[in-house]
Amino acid sequence: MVRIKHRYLLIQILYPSLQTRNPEAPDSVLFHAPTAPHITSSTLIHLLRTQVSLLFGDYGSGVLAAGFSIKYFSNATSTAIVRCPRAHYRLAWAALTFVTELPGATKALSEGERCVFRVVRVSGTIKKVEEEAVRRARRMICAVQGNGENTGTLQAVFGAEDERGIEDINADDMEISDEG
Amino acid sequence: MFYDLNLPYSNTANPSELSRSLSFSAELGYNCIALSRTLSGKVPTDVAADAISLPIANVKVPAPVTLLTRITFTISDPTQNHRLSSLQPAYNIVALRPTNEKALSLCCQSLECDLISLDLSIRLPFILKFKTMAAALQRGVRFEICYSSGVIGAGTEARRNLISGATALIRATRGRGIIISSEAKGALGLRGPWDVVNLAAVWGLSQERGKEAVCEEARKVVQLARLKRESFRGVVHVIFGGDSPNQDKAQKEKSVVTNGLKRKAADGELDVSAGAKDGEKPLSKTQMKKRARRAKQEASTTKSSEPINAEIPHETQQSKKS
Repeated sequence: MVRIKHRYLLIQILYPSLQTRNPEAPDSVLFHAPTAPHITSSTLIHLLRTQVSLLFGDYGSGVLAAGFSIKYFSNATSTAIVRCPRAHYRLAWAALTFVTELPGATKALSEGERCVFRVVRVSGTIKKVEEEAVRRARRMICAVQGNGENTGTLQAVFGAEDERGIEDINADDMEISDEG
Repeated sequence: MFYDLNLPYSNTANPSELSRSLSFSAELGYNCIALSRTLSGKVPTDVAADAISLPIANVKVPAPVTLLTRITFTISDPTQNHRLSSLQPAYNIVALRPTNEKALSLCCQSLECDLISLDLSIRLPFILKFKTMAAALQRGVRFEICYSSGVIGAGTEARRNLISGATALIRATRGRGIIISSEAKGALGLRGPWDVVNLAAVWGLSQERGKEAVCEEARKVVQLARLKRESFRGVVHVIFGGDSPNQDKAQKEKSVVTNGLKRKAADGELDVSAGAKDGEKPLSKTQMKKRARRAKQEASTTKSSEPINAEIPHETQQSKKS
């Protein structure tokens, strides 16, 4: 019995047009700003599905229908892991590249944040992707701590009340439920 | 090393916006970025005054990024005399943007340039032929795909034009000599180099060729352009020609002046001071030591040949010591 093979894409959501809250924070930290809380795994997968059907039509959505899911998503780090069938992972990736904005909090009211999706790592196993995610998060923290002499920078970036977010990055084992 | 050879720039551009774009490209992993000025119609008489002068005031350039300057010149009338060679010394890269088929074939065959950049945001009004493209590739001129217009979400039309143009270009050149750059008006139009490679792979450029399009091919464009500017006929470039002989002469003359003597006399005096006899090369220290030792040995052997006289003082010395 041959198992169905997948590709796991590690994705970062970057915000190049965001206005700075703290002028002393370095630019790279600003680009990695946390994602708005109304964005969840389900809104994200919905966004991707519509994007795929917009770009590749029924063919794309059909080919990517099985096994296309979000395995992990963290608002604090704006990081996500997407699973897609191995044969067509390039379609999913291309769809990600064409995304320009996230959906707004409510459909009628506000426009969403303008953003850039960037695929950081492609792997056949989720383990390697997780490792890379942790490594990147750690490097980010080092960059922030090394740069900002004032300890307020970290709080300014991740939000003071969002303590869990920072712990979340530090944790070595990011909990990812692997149902597939 | 990833290259992005097209970041639009004008003198009226907002410096904070530009520095944001630059730092975002650095974040995405680009190492070399070319700021591009667009021109059309006639080449101005004073090109150098109009050129981009680096570094630009109030623009922060992140550490790993090197900046280049580039001009994109739109050619619509191939019969006009363009004086394109006057653009070359003022910019690092000269790119041409033909708008019709005649202009394209002229660009490919004879006009002096480093890069041909077709405008893919509009529908190409002509069919690209391998024959014309091959002429350009033979001359070492490369073609450019600018992805930003279709990626920023400007609508279905822009996306379609970009994809049709890119696939046409890939088909006509058979994937050879293509570079990919952004032409992003803001930071939002930029994408990571690997995302771009994947896009090109979806459009029919193989993964390796796509990688080359943002790395090696782009590097070749930069280096060939540099060679054209700085070297002799684009073939020979002197990197280090050794020290000039004039320097030695100058030093000697200087020493003569300090001695305040005639040249020959001064030379002689210099040589004596260096410890050499009768105009030979000055001796090195080890050689001098060697000679001294040999002289000592010879002296001692001559002493031992006169037995008694030599030994007595030697023994007295020893008895004194004990």
